[in-house]
Amino acid sequence: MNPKNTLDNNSVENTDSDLQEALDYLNVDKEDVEKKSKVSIKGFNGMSEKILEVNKITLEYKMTLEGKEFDSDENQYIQVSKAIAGSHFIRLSSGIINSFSETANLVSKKDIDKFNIQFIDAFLKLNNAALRDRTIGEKDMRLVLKLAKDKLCNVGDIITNNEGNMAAVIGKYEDDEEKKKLGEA
Amino acid sequence: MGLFKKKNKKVDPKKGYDKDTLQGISSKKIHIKVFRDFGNNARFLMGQYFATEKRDAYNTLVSINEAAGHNEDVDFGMDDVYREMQIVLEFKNLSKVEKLDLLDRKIARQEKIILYLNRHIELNALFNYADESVKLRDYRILKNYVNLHEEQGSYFTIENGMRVYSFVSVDSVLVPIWHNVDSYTQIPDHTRKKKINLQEEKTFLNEMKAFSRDKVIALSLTVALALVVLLFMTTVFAGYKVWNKNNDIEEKMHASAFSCAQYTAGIHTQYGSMVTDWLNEKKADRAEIEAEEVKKKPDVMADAVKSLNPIGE
Repeated sequence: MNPKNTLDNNSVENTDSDLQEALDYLNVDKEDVEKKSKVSIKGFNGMSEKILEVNKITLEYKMTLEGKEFDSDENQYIQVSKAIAGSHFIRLSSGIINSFSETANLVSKKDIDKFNIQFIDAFLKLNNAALRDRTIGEKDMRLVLKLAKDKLCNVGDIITNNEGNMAAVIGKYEDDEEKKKLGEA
Repeated sequence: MGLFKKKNKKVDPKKGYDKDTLQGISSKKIHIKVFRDFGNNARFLMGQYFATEKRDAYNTLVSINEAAGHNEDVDFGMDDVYREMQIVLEFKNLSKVEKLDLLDRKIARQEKIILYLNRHIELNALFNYADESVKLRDYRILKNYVNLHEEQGSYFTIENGMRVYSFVSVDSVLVPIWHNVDSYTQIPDHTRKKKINLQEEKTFLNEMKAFSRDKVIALSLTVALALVVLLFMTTVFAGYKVWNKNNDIEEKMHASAFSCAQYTAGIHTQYGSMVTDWLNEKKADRAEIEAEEVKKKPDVMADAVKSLNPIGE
């Protein structure tokens, strides 16, 4: 029997008293819920260093799996839906993607072939982890794998041999003049 | 003959199997039966065949019969649930009633959590819905298992000294049958997820292969070679055309000279023949004249002879 069919009961109004009852039952504070349901990305905002880009990609991946969506007005991720993968898998896969954020990866001007080896290995690890994980449903399996693949591709764009890698690691893109200079470099 | 007479197998009446049967059970060859479910435990046997147990790319034990297109897991996802939950809930020293009581309480709490998570989305920040729903599903599977499971139950039966695995075909997916208690579920099993993963993995590796540097180099070389061949062919064709053109031009260039020469040769031939005719005519005329002259010419000798005095006159 699918738990969703029986327990997806929204007939009761979403009132504060009901929420309080839920909080009491689950033994959690309302402040904790408010704090955790909104994840600010102040640290990443305005930052243009490539060194943080990989971390940002990992965060995006993690938030998507947890059911959070980016709110550009408030500049934070807000809980809008249910998680599509278990916490264990989210931690594991985020760790795999985050392993690319080593500073050495950025300054070494990684060759595309070397990156491909790392990329394939990472994807296969993710694939195996997803297979063993029972929390991911069949309908979400392809979504999770494709999401992971896309994020790894984005990481590849950053850490492979691009023009002005070193400048991008150190410099900032905040001034238009500097941006032009770096673009020319 | 008495020496070679085959002894009757000693069958243990308590256990109900002999030594050969045990060897058959532990062999890699197994018997597969596929049923179609009509509800109310009415099943129709769709097919049966043998299969061999092997390890696949994921190191999972699978049964394979290539001719029948059978490639299914021997271990089932539900087994993991039983094993894990037995440890997590410390079931070892509990009686069946205590186990069921504990599971009922767990299920009730889990259902309530799921209910609250569905009603208040913000609570999902603290509780992972996927984790909680899987936990609930596991408790339910385990309750079903505890309620109906018998010690002798298994996914296979033994027939003719061989393990027989039975499946029910649901939407062409083979769902294993738990024998004795009939508690198979249609919750997606490991096999189905594995097929999705295999597809994705294959697609991914093919994509990566398509973009590999070697392939790009090989493709570039092939294109370059094709271009070189094309250029060579074009050059040869152009050369041939130029050669032909040259011949045409030369022909045209020499046409006037040739006609002139031909004309000259014609004139020459005509003039030659004319001269020859004239000469011949002249010759003929001369011959005639000479003949006439010869006729007209006085016979000097005769006259001389006549004029000569006779000897003695």
